[in-house]
Formats: sequence, C-alpha cells, structure tokens
Amino acid sequence: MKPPASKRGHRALPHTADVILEAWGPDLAACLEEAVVALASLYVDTTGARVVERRLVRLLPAAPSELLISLIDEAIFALDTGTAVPVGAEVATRGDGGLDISLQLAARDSITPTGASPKGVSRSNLRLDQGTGRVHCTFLIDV
Amino acid sequence: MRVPGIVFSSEALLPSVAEDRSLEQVVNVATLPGIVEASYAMPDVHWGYGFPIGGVAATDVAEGGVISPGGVGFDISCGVRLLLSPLDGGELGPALPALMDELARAVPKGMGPGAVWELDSDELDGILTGGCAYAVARGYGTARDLERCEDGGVLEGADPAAVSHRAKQRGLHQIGSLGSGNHFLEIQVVDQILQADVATRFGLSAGQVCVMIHSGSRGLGHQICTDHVGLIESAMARYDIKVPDRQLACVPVRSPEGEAYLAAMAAGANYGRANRQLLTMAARGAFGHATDSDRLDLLYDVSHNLAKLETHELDGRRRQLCVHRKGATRALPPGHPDLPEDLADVGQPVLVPGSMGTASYVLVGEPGAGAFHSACHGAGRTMSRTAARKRIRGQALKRELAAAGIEVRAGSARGLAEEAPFSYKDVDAVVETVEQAGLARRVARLTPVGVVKG
Repeated sequence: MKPPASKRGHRALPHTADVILEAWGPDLAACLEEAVVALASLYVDTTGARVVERRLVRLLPAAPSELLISLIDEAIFALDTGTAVPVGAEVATRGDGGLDISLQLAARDSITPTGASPKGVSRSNLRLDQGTGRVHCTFLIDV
Repeated sequence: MRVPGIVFSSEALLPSVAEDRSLEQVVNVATLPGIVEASYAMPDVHWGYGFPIGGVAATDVAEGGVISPGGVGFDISCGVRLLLSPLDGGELGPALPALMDELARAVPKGMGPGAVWELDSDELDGILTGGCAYAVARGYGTARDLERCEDGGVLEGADPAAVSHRAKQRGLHQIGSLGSGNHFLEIQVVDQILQADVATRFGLSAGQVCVMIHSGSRGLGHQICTDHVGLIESAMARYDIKVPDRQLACVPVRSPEGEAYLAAMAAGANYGRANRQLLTMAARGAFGHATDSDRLDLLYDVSHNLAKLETHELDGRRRQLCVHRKGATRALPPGHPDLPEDLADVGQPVLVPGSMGTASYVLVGEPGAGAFHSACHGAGRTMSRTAARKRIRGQALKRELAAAGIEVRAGSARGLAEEAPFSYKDVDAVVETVEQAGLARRVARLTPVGVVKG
C-alpha cells in the first residue's frame, strides 16, 4: 500500500497475527516521533491524555533502523514497567549519529485503553528509508 | 533450501498466499544451518515474523545445528494449561456471573504492571531458576500441579545471569498476569467425549467444568528475545551464517551466544510456567469465593513456544536435536519417558485452545507421529486485527457472545473485537486435519461459557 502524501503521519497495516506500523516525516526525527505515536495508537486513545512525565533517553550512535528498534523498545519498556503510559516523543538527532529522546508519559487515569499492548519489535521486514525531504519506516510489533 | 517444507493442511485451511506470507516463511526456515528432515508447518499455520506461527524445525546439535530465538518467538513458553473442576455445567450455571466477576477482579490483565505475586529480586531469580517448583515451594500450588507440568514445571539449564536487568525489571511486577492479545482465561464445559478410554484416564467427563489458561512469559520473555536476537545477529558473521529474514538470526547451539540464549530462554520458560501457576491460584481463589468448590486439578500444562534439546532417531541413528516449536505443541506418544508416570501408557494431553466463542480441544499424542512429536497449538488466525475491528465493534461482539451463553469480561472493547472468532480458522477442521495427519488424536471437545480477556 502506497503511503499517503502528507508530510508526516503514521498508520497500521494488516498482518495476520500482529501489527505492522508505518510512519513517515520530513526527517529522521519527525519519522521516529510519528513511530512512537503509531505505537501508542495501538493501545490507547490519547484524547484528553495528561502528560505527567518526560523521560529523557540518550541513544548511542547506530544505524537508523537500529535507532528505531531502540526507541520502540524504550517505549514498550516504559509501558510495561511504569505508572504512566507513553503517548508520544520529542526526538533530536545528534551530530554523532545518536539520538536525544524525551518520551512523553501520560497518567493512566487520563487515557482509555483500546487494544492489545505491544510487547516487542521484530527485525522481520524492518525498513527505514531516507530520501530527500522524506524518511519512511515500517516495523512489525508483537502484541 | 536444505530440506523440504512440509505443510500439514487441507485445501480449505491453506493460508492465502496473497494475504499471508507463512508459506514463504516455511521456505526461509528450510535454509537454516543444520536443519534436518523438513521445515514443518501445522494446520493452524499463519504469518509470523521469521518463523511462521505453527512452525516446527529441528537442527542437529552435533553437526553445527543452530538455535534461533525467532524459532521460539517473543513470548517464550507461551502455553496452555487445563484445570478440571468437580462441578458440572448445571451446578455452575447460577454461580457463573458471580464467578466471572470474581475472576475479572482476581486476574490482572491488559497493559502494564499487575501481578498476583509482587516479587523482590531474589524471588524473581528463584522463579527464573525453579519455575513452577519454586512457586509451589512458596505455597502457590500443590505437588500434583508439578507432576502434570511439562518437565515437572522446571526447564533445566536456566541461568538468571543470562537475563538482562531490563528483562528482570519487566518481570518483577507481572507474575500471575494474563496480558492482552490472544491470551485468555476461559471457563469451559466438556461438550463431547471423542475417545472414552483416554478421556477417563485424563479425568474428563461430559458436562464437566474446566478452566483453560493461555498466557506466557509476559514482558520478561519478550525482552529476552529482543536482547538475544540483537546479540545473535551481530555474532552471525563470525559463524559465516546468512539468513533470508533478520528475525531468523541464529548461531550454532554449541556456541557461547547459543548457550547464553538457551540459558536465558530456559529462565523465560520457567517464568512463563510459574505465571500460569499463579493464574491457577487466582482461579482457585475465585472458584472458592463464587462456587461450592475451589478444587481445580491440573490436567496438563504445555508450552507452544520453545526450543528444546531432544533425542530423536533419524536415519537409524539417535541424535540430539534442537527442536524449535513456534506456535506448535509437543505431543508425546504413549511410552515416552518424559510423560508423567500416571500417563505413561496413555500419551501426553495436547491442549488446543479455540478462539473465544468456539470450541477448544484436548488431544493425545500418537505413536509413530511425525514432526518430532508435534501438533497444532490453536485455531490459527486468518484475518488481521485491523480487518477484525472493521467488521465488528467490541460491544456488539460482547452482546453476540452473551446471546450464545458466553459471559465475557474484557479489558478493552477494541482488544475484544480484534479477537473475534471469525478472525480464526475453523478449529474443528484444524484438529481433524491434525488427526488425519496422524500427529495426535481427538479426546474431548470443550465449549466456553465464560471468557476473561486482557
């Protein structure tokens, strides 16, 4: 399925047992921010979500697809262990090829659970393509 | 391909090549170094990641055969147990709504932390090493529970030191929790006895109330898989291994990375088994509050996501194989030394969960069966979660199930819709095909009257 023409966004694609997520943006940071929102859309309706914590995460330099895996792994870890729920992220790329991330966590009583929780990100069919003015990724989430 | 791909199926059950890439995944698995005999797929096969779900593959350990975390899956030791109540459906009937309310309260489910037993780090290490046996020793269960668990409830070779701090953090607050997705706790009633002599030996009778629990190793198992796929992928070049799918990352079983994964996987498996043991205790408590009997005897507990070192005869020689079952159930025949003593002449109970609103089955392992003594693990999905949600809303599905006499307690309406029965293959046809293929024989058919979902 061809991604929509919008500058940034995300959507879920069909997979028999799990979920394939697709995210895109004008640069790597925007694409990765959309990837976190795509992940959150699986398990929560963020309408009215009250962000109560910003968790700072520093990712070491790595290939962009590995940064994507690490970022999603961080969000899933936060979901599984904390009292607040990841609903978004602010991502900044560093000159050394790493990332500075601020994960936005919302109070559990301010959100409505919607679907199955994500538990892991697969390397199967993982893609992160960087073109001029557009970065696009697809990743498979185990639920 | 180093070996053929063999799919046990009927034409009707074969996955659609256009929408489901599981057959391509059967082919990919057939390329793994050291694989023997065939890359097998069960009748419930469907699209996974790396391995198909419903896949079985064995590698020859002495011939450099590999182990792949993708051949186990994220949810290490995801599995099923069946508990038998002395009550029958008629006796339970009036108490069912109260029982379901009690179960909904007592069984942690859905996203995030939530546990029957809040562990400290020493207790977590005890679980990782001792599995169900540790839980029972701490008062969560009976000696009889252990007799009816695969491997006595403890997979040998577990090493908590091979499990990352991150995985342990995910495991501290989730022991005794259902999770979400396709996991469930169901109250079922035996609808048909199909092999009277075996059913009697299993303690099953028509109309009997049972509890089926389907869950796994929760966040801890997933983190172990994530951690070790990364480690193994970066080590593959040293062993000159290339795979057609990154989630098939693998190394020789007898390599430092392979041994480390085996030790961590065993720890995850022990956590998964203990998780189902703690859920059992929650179910017993709920039955005690809401019915005349809290007695729930374990028929069997078996994993359907695991790699095990097993000895099989191949080409006239006994060989140690690493048998990966991903969404496939071990199905030992009568006489196998790993059976519980009192089932040694009968065979292993093979538990096949249906899809909420449809039947589940108890089968028994068959003598001379193929695929390294393996059978299906469920009905097998045919429809994506997004397609299921488009077809029905959770509240409507709940009403439909209630009209069919099935009480549902669900964590989220959308999650319920994603698990709608029409998203799965026809479980009756799946187990019939398993029987026709000689993998296992049907013993009893069970239908749900109550479902707890995450």
